[in-house]
Amino acid sequence: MSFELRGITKTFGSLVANDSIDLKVEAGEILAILGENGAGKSTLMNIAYGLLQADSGTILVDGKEISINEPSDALAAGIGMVHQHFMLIPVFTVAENIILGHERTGRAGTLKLEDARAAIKKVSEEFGFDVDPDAIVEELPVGVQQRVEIIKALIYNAKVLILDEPTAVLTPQETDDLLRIMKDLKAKGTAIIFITHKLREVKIAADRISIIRRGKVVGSAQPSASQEELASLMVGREVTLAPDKTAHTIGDVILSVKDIVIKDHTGRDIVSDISFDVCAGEVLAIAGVQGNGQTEVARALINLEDHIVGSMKLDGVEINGFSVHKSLDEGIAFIPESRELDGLISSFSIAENLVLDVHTQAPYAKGISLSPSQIRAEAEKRIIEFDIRTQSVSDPVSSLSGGNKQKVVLARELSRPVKLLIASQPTRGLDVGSIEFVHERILAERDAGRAVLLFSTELDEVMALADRIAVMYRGKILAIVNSDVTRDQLGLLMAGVVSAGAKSA
Amino acid sequence: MKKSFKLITLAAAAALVVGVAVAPASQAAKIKACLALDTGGVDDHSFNASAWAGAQASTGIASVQYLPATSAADFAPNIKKFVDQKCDLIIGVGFAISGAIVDSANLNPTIKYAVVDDQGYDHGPKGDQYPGKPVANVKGLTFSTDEPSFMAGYAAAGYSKTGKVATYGGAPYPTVTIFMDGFAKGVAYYNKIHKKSVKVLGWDPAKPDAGTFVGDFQNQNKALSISTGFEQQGADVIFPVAGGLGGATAGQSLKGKKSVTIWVDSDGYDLVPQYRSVLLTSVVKGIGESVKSVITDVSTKKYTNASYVGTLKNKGVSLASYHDLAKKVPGQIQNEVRQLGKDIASGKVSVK
Amino acid sequence: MNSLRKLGTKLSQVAALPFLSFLLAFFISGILIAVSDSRVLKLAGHPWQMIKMAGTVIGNAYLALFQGSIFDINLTHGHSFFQGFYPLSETIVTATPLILTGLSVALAFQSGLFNIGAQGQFVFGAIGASYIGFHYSLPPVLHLLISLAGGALLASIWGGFVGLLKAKTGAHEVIVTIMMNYIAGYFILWILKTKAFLRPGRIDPMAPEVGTNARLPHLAGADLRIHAGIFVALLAALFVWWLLTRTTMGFKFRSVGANASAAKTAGISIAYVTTATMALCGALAGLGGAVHVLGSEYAMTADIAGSFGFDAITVALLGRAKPVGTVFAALLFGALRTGGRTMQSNTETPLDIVLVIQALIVLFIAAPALVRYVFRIKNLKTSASITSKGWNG
Repeated sequence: MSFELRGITKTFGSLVANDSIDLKVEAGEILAILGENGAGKSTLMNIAYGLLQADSGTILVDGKEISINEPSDALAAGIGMVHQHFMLIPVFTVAENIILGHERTGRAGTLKLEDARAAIKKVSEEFGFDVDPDAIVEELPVGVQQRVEIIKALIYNAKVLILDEPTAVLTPQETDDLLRIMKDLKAKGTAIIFITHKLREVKIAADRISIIRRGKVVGSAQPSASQEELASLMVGREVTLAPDKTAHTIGDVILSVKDIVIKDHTGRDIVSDISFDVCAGEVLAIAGVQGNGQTEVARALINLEDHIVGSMKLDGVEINGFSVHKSLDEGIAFIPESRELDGLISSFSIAENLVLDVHTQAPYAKGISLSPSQIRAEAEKRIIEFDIRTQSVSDPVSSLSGGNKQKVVLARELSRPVKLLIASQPTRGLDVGSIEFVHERILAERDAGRAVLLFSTELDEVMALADRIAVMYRGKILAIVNSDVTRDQLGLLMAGVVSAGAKSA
Repeated sequence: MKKSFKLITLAAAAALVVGVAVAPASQAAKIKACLALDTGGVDDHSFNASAWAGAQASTGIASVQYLPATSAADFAPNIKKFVDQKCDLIIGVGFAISGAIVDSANLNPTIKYAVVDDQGYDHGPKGDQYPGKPVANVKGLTFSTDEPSFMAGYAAAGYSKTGKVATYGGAPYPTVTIFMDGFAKGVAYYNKIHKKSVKVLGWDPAKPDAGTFVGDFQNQNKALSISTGFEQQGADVIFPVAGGLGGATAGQSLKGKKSVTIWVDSDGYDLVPQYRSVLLTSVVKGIGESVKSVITDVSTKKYTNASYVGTLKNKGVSLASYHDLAKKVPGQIQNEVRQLGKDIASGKVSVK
Repeated sequence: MNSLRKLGTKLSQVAALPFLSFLLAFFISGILIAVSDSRVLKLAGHPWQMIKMAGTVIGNAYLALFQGSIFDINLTHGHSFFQGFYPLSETIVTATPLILTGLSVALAFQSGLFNIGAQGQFVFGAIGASYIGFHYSLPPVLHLLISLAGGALLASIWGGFVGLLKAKTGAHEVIVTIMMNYIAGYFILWILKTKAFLRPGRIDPMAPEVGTNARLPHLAGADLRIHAGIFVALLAALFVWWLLTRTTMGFKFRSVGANASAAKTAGISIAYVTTATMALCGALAGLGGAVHVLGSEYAMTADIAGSFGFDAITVALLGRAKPVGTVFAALLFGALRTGGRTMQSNTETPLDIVLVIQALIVLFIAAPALVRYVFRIKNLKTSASITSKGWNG
């Protein structure tokens, strides 16, 4: 079965999200759609799935024009979609989620789940999914939840599967598993549209690549093209993917962490006996699959966690037990894992967000009274220095793109005199252009002699930035290795396997 | 937006057109009597309702209206409203409004005032001079409720098989304790005549501090627990002097079948028909009668500031019929109670 | 010129939803007034006459509402023209405590807290002001200021306790304030029966009147009840505006209100903000109670708080939790309440219709989609986010 979009145009007010886009995917083929955030990929796919209506253009299945006004039309036409944010009910079981919207009832209105269970087992075995139909969805790892979404599409006979940024939420292992599953599906004749901005995955999985920029298809490429070529097509200019990392001297120990234990509110250890040092002028990356305690370590370092036992010394000062405010004041810049949740106040203006942690200090305040004019004036400087693209510093920060939001966080945290930069997943969800900017800023901090502690689940990022790498697994540091470690060795460490090849540094 | 603004203008224009409307038609030579109610609303099944019913019964000689109050803060503005409305007679319902009535009366000597359940005396600018001075244009509407309560106490003692009867109040206000006094003394009078020793729970006129009170007139749960407590101590007649809270007691009587209830203020047989089977009788306080009487006084130009006192004699207070429980009250007792009423009215028996 | 137009546009955007809700509420209430009127119903067989009569009845009712809340020409007969503004004076007297309690709830909203406790805080403000007012004899001005401050301080402790409880134990302020309202309600009943508060010669719960030095001065002679409390309320509104937009403390409040997690990450102490906010909310609502006692009531009764604390929630929502909006919303509610009195006495339209109007206004504000649909407007600015914020923990 072939699936084709012809001349799709969609506007939102004055913004042209899709400008007469043509795409075609055949059975047994993986078409990757590559584009930066905001290029119009998701809009296009929402049109294909019936969540949005195109202003003009046609959708063809096997050469015949069909009309898709809502998702049920798409399902009927054999089009399934796995959204970036899963459409599952967390407290339901897998089987219940799968029959959702197609419930069959027996006598007296009781649900008939047997058919669903059988179908799930069948599909699971066929593709090696290993999904228990009676597991509660919220108790499953993210990667398995995604498989539930895929099973859901397959059970309803999807011949075309749209995957919207499927790897954004996955760990490296889960990503590899997904790529394998995609290949299996392809081999069984499913057509797949794979939306992403991650170049490595495109090169591994795609048969053909279409690149979208500002609502238009700006070209196509073969998977054999280099990452640099793809990135340049995507961004529209030359891009350096691996930032220049110059060798330089490493200074004194800035942060010294000894035997840290972090407990959750029930008293269980989340992080046990962690020790490491970070020196001035070095990037220590803490790598690991999401959920192995990195989040808590990062938060603990500015005392956002309760119940921390052990010693955390910043430039010789014991900071365990300080308030968050005092920890930051000691000279820590903190880039939180979720900029939306912890980094920014979306309803506040850009200027206000730029002084969130320094609003009591001169020149932003005199005594108890704020100086809005000073706050604005400083903000004007910051948006130039950090290239924050906005009309006005008084606009709410929610009006910015993801990359620009992260620049606001960076601008705030790096405009204070700090000794240590803690960056937690600093490029998560960002497009190539922004990632490049963030990486350059982080290395600039390192070169300026600050200690940098980078928490990341992205192998590429860790490899590109780190001087030394600590791998966390189940709340412990498994090993601290030098940056000459190979990608495979690192992957194994992150999976909890201590191989002989990895030497401790 | 444009279309909506047209709509708005249209609506505004319409409002203006109908806004220049007529003033209400003037009434005949009837007097204008206005009731400033206490909190609780006009349908409170209690004194607000009784007062309004009395006013409505006077529509032949007066045009009547009322204003409800949501809190004490409404009293003064409500009365002021009636002054502006040029009411001939303004009646404040409930002793709580008395101060506001007196204040207004002092400012408007040509308007006549009355206040239910208080003498309507002026207690000075700070409200702390007692007993205070009468005001020339304020008439107090008060009730000798101890008289019918005395009869009720006698009847209760005569009815009781356990030799224990009980009473409790909403709050220890004089308008409440006067019922309890009468009731307790009526029981004592029965004991004296019949050489019995029927006990009264909840109130002893000699020890007012030890009386049983709910604390307010809203707390149904407390009223219920007081009632069950009385039952457990063996009382088989309970006289709640707490307005609508009597429902809690009557409900317990109905459920537990251990006691009967004496209703207060108006005849419970009509007011709360669901409790008919457990209502021994009711002590009726003729608030409606008093309102009617003062309206008549003003209409016939006989108004003075001398307090109206509702008594058994002028039928301003009364003991209601036993209704459905008549068969359970010995005929002998019924006759004695009837005679007692006559003796109190004639002054032969003192209830004090 | 351009900036003026901009301001106008902004104002019309902000005010559009409340205004349209207001219009719709009056329209529906008008229908209710008409169909509950016997004169209208009698004409059921003659549609045109019935509509005319309905128009007259509704017009009269709303005319009375206006006369009773703003200006009544009838009151000037035989008096000065000034006396015609007696209803406006009453409106302001009613609105004054409501502005203060409304500000209390609005400030809490800004910090992401839902203060249901304005009622109890009002009670303690009244108790403090009343006691200082009647128990002590102090020189003019000083007595008033100390009474006001005493009421505000007592209520501030009462309110701040809720904040402290939330900060230390995580107890949700909605539940705590509701319960504390009960405690305050029974506390005032009890305290009015104690020797310290009982009026000599009385046994019903009513405190003595406050001394003349402690009273808020009348602004327009003894005939009109309007008193200096309105300035206290307006100053408080100005203070809240200044606090929120021009101080570091207000910045912290708004940060925590808009995104507590980000505020915490930026080093702002949630415990501090919660406690400080609730203490200030208490002070504002308490000032409402103090102003009510010292300005118009003089003697405290058990039901002194009326429904000022609960109406405050509606007022704050209607005012979008902004100081200026709250002032206007409180004035509107004050006007409805006082006007309703005239509506009932002049036209026999039940006072309860005013409650219907109030409820409908709030309903439409809470359901902007409905207003949008009726008036066919897109992009109506809504305040739904304010209402939902209270529960974020």
